[in-house]
Amino acid sequence: MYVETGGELPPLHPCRWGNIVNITTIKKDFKRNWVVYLIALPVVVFFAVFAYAPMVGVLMAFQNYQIKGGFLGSPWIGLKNFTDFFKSYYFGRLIWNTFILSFYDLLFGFPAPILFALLMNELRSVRYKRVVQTITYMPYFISIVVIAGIIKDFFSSNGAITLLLGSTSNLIGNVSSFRSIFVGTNIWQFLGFNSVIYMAALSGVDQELYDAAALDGAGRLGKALHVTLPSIMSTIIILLILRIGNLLTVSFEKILLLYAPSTYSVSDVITTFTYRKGLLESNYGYSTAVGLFNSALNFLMLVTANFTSKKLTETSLF
Amino acid sequence: MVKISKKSKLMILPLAVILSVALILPGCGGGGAEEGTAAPESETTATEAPIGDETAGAPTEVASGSIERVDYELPLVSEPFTIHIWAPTSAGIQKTMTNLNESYYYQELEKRTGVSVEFTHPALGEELNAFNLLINSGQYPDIVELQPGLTYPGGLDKGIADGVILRLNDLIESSAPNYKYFLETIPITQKEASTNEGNYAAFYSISVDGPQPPWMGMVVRKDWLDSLNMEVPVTFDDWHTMLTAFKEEKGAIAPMMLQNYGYVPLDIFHGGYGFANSAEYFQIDNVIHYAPLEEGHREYVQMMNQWFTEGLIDQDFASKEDFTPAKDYTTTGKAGAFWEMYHVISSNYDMATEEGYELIAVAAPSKTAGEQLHVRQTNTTTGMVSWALTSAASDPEKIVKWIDYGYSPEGDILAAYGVEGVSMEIGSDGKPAFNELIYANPDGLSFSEAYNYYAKHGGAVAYHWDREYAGQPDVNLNAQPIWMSNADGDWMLPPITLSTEEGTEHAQIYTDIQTYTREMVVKFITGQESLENYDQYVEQLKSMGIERCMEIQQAALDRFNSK
Repeated sequence: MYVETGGELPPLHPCRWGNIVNITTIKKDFKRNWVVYLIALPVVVFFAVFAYAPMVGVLMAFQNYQIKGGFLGSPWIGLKNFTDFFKSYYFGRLIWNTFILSFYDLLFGFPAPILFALLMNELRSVRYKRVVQTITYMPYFISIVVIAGIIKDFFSSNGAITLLLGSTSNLIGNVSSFRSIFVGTNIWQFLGFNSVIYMAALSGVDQELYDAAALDGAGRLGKALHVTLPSIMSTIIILLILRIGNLLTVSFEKILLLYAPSTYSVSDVITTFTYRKGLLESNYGYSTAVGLFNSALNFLMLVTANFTSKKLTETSLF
Repeated sequence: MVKISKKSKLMILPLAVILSVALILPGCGGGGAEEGTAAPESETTATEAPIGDETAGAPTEVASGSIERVDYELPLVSEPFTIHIWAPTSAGIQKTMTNLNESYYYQELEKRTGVSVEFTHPALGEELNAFNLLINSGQYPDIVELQPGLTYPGGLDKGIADGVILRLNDLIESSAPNYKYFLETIPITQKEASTNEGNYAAFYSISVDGPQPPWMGMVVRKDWLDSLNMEVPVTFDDWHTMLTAFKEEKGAIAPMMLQNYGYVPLDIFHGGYGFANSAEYFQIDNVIHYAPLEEGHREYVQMMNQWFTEGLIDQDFASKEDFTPAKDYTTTGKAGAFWEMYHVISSNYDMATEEGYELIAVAAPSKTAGEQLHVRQTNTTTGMVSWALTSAASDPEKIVKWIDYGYSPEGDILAAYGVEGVSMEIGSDGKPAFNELIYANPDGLSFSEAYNYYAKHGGAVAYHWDREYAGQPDVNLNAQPIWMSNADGDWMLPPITLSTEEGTEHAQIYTDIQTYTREMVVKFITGQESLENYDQYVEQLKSMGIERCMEIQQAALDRFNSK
């Protein structure tokens, strides 16, 4: 927000904070623009209370956390929680399951909405387009508990989809089909909603570019490949980087609702493990350590993806 | 460009402050420090009772030397007193009330004792989460209701050491003569109701007429048996023949139901193979055994695999967590053999979609006819539920007296049966029993819905399990004798407890083992893992440390036996 001050100095834009070396300049700026600071206050408070304050909780990862003592009274045990996790029988499997589920989800789930948006862009009938859009983003608004119920029912031994596929065994309880169902239903859930942002980007493409391409003899495919796609490339990359930053956070609730002992070998992921350890077994320190480890990996991936993208395409988050 | 005038600047100030405060407030409500802790007590009158009140709650007879139950002079308190209780509920109360203090029983109890009760209930199915969060919040009610698996992390001794749970030994001695009476007259209760360190940490429900017979067991479709000209099955081979007929002649898609871990729960079905696993371990002559290491378990898994492949087992069992099988299977002809609680067997009749639907309770199968089994669903003398006082209890002595009233001759009958002339009549034999209001409720309440409203739901009571027999149809009443007919519970594990260190070590090793076992057994049964790998499975269990776990359990069992 830009505030008219009427004074001689132009107001300080946040981007120029880097130039400030003098504390008196800040004071001056505060005096002049205190309204802006005030408006920002709720946001700052929000992040301080809900994003930064709870971070103190990671201390538990280095403690043998006791309910009685809390943060201050629990004994410190260094990295024991971490080494226990690394030595755990299921360590390798948890990491692999988490990674491979997310990876498939990224591989198939990421391009789907882009493709969908491109196809929708080619549609001429506005009414038809609206109907299709509404239908496809409906699943996004259904509660995950209901979604899981539907999935369990449709993929049970006499469920609708199981019968369509010509099978008679319970597919959701089967190791070989769990991942496909998980990723497939994820696409179904998020296709419509995730394509909205691409459609918004598409509506911003300059119409003259298409006319020029048509003059050059480009057909529909040519236009899509050489005009549309490059125009939304920066949106795609930003979203991809964000997605990679979340690579190891597969949708925890959905797995928790769908998995069963019979599919643990492909469905048990870091977050579900953390849930069982922390909330069900009250092993808070250990559970926090595992969660912290997960976040650290995510952060590392985000930075790597951002760096790579910066080098290759000059588009980056930071 | 936005221009903000002096006036609107002034309006932004309160707005920003309100927004910030609104953001912070809900955040602190949960984690609150000093202010929050006072909240549960804020409505209780924690003031000392006046001197004249001393006699109000005192026993009318003083048991001198000999042990006797005593009645209280009512009301127990002369000034209003409120007790806060955290307690899980069951689906059985949802129709009649949202909170237990609305029940006829608690209203009557308040009239008699002068003590009112405020309950906090966790959401159904979220009990463990809610309990752990409650313990962590540091804001305790006066009483928490504990259940197996829903107890202080690290055990009750640790709860006492941590200063969260109140040690009750002295209070029971001084203020709970009726509870003390049962502890001393029913020897096993003392073992079951005390911790390793000899603490009384909670008031337990006590089955004052001895342990309850099995309340859950196998049932099969009797009308199907009759039309197939088949006898009630006795051996596993009989079962195989029966299930095959159910599948082929009756078109059942899930002839027999199974729970997601690959067993019928509570050791109801597999006793014939000589293992039990509802408590993870079992014991023979005071020696701890672990089911998957037993030869019988391998045979069971082998048989289940065969039955599954032949389509005799519910093909979707691996994704079913229900404690009792879903009614859309049991009442529609999809399933012919399943397990059920004895007093709800007949409730399947009302929902049945088929003409002539009939069920019969059957004893657990054995390998050969006429074998005596040692595994079945058993019950301890101290029931499933107990009430522990927390360190936040406003006036422990009053609360203990109030609880003890429920064990006194008068309070005991009120808790079990409700009020005479309303939900209970005294029979010609002088024994109380529920009347039609409970077993044939005019408002359409089921038996348990009705007694949970008119009598006490859960909590610490002197428990009379035979109260459930009132007005039951024969098919329900016949079930328990049948289930007991060929099985005693001699191999079942008594309620042993681990010390904190043992508990931590056991959990660290056993959690992975449990995951592994649950996974493998289901895979063996569904054929995703070849049975040839069973030996490797056992080897893996050993290398993961199952033997150390058994040592820990053995020590706890020895300790329990020598208590």
